[in-house]
Amino acid sequence: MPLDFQFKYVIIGNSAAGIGCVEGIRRIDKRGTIAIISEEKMHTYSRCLTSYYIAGHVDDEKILFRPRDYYERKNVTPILGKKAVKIFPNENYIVLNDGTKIGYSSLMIGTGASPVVYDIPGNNKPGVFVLRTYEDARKISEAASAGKRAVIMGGGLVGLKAADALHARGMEVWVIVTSPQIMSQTMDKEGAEILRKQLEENGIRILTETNVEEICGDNKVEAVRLSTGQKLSCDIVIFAKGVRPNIGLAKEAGIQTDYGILVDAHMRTNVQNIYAAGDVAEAKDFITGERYVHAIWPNAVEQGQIAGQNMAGADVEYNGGIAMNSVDLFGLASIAVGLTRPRAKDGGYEIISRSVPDKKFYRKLVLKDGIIVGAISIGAVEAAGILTGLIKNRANVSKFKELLLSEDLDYAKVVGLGIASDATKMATA
Amino acid sequence: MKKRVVVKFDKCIGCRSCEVACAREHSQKLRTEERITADTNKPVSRIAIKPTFSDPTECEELKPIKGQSRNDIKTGKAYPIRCRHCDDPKCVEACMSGALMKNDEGVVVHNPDKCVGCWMCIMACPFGAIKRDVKNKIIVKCDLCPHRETPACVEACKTGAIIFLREEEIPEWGE
Ligand SMILES: Cc1cc2nc3c(=O)[nH]c(=O)nc-3n(C[C@H](O)[C@H](O)[C@H](O)COP(=O)(O)OP(=O)(O)OC[C@H]3O[C@@H](n4cnc5c(N)ncnc54)[C@H](O)[C@@H]3O)c2cc1C
Ligand code: SF4
Ligand code: SF4
Repeated sequence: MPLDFQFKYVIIGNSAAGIGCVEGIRRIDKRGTIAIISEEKMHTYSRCLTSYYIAGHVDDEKILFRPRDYYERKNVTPILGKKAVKIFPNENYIVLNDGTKIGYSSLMIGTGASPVVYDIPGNNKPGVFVLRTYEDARKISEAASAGKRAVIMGGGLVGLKAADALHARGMEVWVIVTSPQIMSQTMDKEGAEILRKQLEENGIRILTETNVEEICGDNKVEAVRLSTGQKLSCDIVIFAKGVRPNIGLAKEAGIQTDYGILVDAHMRTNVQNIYAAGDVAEAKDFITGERYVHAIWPNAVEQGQIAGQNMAGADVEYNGGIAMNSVDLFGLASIAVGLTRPRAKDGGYEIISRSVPDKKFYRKLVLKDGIIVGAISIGAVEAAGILTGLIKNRANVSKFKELLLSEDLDYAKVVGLGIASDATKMATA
Repeated sequence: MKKRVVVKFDKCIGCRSCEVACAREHSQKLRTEERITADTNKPVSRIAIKPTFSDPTECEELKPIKGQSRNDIKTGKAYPIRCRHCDDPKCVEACMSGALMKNDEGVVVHNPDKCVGCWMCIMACPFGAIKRDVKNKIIVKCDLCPHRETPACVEACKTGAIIFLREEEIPEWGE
């Protein structure tokens, strides 16, 4: 069977996980040939910046998260604007939508996730959008128009970032959220209330415990009908109600999948020489040890790096992913890491918090047996990374947990407490 | 030849000369006094000298330590907080805009033009070594003074607490 190309490493996906993989490989193997494939034409851009693009804060150049000459510098062959349609795991090659056959010694699947569009009447009308790709952002940007109204379905990170962006473009923005609070995946109730207030004070309208049941309009979006019976006229609608891993390609090739592609601590799938990383991969969770999909940027990069190093012959294990998110809304910073809202029935958790409403300061710690497993910081977030570090170190902080709530917490204060793993006499940098 | 900043905490007396030198180095105007007294755009130091709690049981009642300099560190031992240019930098991993990158010399460099102020890096850095410049919605952190032979903090440190060594010199020196 003649192949059109043969590479040592083939990466499907030119985003966080794919680039992480390139960098992982190049840490170990400076020369081995690498091909990176994406169905999107764009040079490696950051989808987290798509909302900034809509707002007008980043342009076609700044949305790239690696320099223009990145592929040459890393000696990588980009194959952009082509879709991988089939993997032949026994023969070690893949096929693209134009028929090109590409052989590999090892393959990494970093196909990411796609937005979920719920099955409600009118969901395909012109004026209905999702926000995931550069193309999506371009289309929304074109449709955005000052003085008009946008309805955003979903109060998670993507929904709120879209709301912020469209507001910056002069639109009247309504966010419709099914749950009783915004950011229900990462933020606790109290924190969510602070953020909601911040958004509302700045002109974003938020309806919680409400659903959009129909998107109305003759030829295009004209209104949405809400579960409250209310009809809300609007010009555009954005679905931001979560994503689902793009596992089709892997599943068809016989690679084990559940919600995502199942991978071990080396980011290997059950098929030899095939790895997966990022939003598509279901990998170990740091806190529970079970497999879980944490669809966030830092995890995608880290998993990609680990996959890449292992593909290149190193032996690097993944510690497990932790949910974490940072978002700045109208100048109010908020960071949530780890388990921030343990369910009451799980039991055994200790929760301490401190808030200074005047300063919009809020910090909360979730502990289990003295070990810190989750943290929220709103307002002064400078210490958030220290808390992340303590979570990753599985530090027992029971003796000085109150100290960790102080607004001016800094790294020096945790040095010498025996919890900072590297509290040594010397630090190099 | 890669060089690294080494901090010997024992020698730090908390004089904070490094903070001033760093702020000065990173301010656009040369005269520090001007920048410091101006209300806006104060120069921000990329190194911070903070007190430690040497013993957790002493958190409530801290005792001044011997040989401490006259400064605002009245509690605990002085400790310089700055970017360590980690081998596996968590800030770079988390930076979703590509503003933070580790260059070929091993320096974790920040490009303010690309920074969008999302604070993902702050969330990820376990040393709390990144500061926010809220006004400009970007971060600031140690850049190892790329335009200088010796970083400003190293030059300003008169006790030998912050020194600049070639990578291969470090193990011999460590205790
Ligand atoms: C608007 C928005 C804001 C966000 N903000 C944040 C944030 O602030 N913080 C955070 O942590 N995360 C954020 N995220 C999530 C973050 O973007 C993802 O976690 C991250 O992009 C996952 O990277 P990935 O490489 O796994 O997958 P993706 O980024 O989804 O990339 C998948 C890649 O695979 C390609 N691909 C897929 N299928 C094929 C195929 N069959 N053939 C060829 N190529 C294919 C795609 O073109 C793409 O290049 C945000 C996401 C969005 C949409
Ligand atoms: S900012 Fe923090 S994580 Fe990044 S290199 Fe410096 S010390 Fe390491
Ligand atoms: S604040 Fe700037 S440097 Fe930090 S992660 Fe965001 S874009 Fe990168």
